[in-house]
Amino acid sequence: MGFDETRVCDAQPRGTDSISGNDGVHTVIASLSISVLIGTFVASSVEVTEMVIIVVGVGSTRGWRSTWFGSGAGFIVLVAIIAALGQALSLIPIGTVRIVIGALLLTFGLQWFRQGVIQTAADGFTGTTEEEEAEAAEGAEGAIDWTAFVLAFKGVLLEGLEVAFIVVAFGAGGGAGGGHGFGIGAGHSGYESAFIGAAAAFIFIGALGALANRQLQEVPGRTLKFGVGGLLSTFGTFWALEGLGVHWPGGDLSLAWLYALYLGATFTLMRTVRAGLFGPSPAKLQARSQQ
Amino acid sequence: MSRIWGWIVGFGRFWYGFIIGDDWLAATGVLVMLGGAYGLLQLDVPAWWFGPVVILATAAWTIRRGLIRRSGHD
Repeated sequence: MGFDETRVCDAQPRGTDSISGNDGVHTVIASLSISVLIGTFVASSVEVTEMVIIVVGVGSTRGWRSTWFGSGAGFIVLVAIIAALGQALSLIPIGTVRIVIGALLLTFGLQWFRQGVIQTAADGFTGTTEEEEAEAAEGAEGAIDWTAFVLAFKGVLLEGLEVAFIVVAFGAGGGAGGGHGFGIGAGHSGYESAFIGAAAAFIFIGALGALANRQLQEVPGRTLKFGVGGLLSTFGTFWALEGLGVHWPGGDLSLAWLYALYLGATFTLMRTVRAGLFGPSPAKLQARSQQ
Repeated sequence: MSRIWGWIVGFGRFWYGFIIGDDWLAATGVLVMLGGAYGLLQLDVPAWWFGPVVILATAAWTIRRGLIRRSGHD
């Protein structure tokens, strides 16, 4: 991978490093590679967005306490893996990790898909069933919701690993191609730039996620569950097939049309179920159970 | 000992509920998707379309099963 070595120091007149008097900070800034920093920021933003969507979606529908525990645990495992493997991260079979996590998300997403269509077809987007009330009561009792924990854990771990791969790839490329001598760290400053780019992506996308969460609080729970079920199925399909080596047309942009397709199919299925064209209609079932 | 056993059973139940849930068809659909896509890749045929097709078919089938099961219970 070849990267332009457009360094901050190149844009400054020589001999200005000592103007601030803070040589340490200045040296770090001066050694950063802007191309690596921006490249890592953009590439990481895609992965961090996927992570934040899953965490915010799960937190909004299943409760935040267990989601935070799951995210925290995922982050700790991620840091431990990075600390243990360092630049040897590429030894991890990311394809297999994608297949396993994608398949699990998809299996769970399909269950929500089914429940969502049947329940919503029966009594709309804002109603609640006994099942849903029991779920809410369970969460309120303070016990860990392991489903939320596992979903958040997997989202943070997989996407975090992908960000770590991006940092390693951009960092190594950034240092190697520049023609500047960095000793062992032929790429040392490249790694610093890549790390800062990835950290900036976490902060920026994380802040957007916090804003989105406020808006999501206005959305009825079942509607949200419906949307999150579609998201889990979308990410699950995408990751599982990507792990197998399938090339999606448009790369990560396929997530958008896949989500639109699943949501469109969900509404079509719901109307079909409501009309009774798909076996007994939920309205009839409800009326029968009330007799 | 019984506490550890209880934990193991709870762990197994959690994963059973997570993967199988109340219909095994969803998990089977995912396996069919993975197997079929792998087969298409071996034949050098683009496989990206196969996943959504299998998943939507599985979703429709499992919804129908859910409705029929509910009517049977009532």
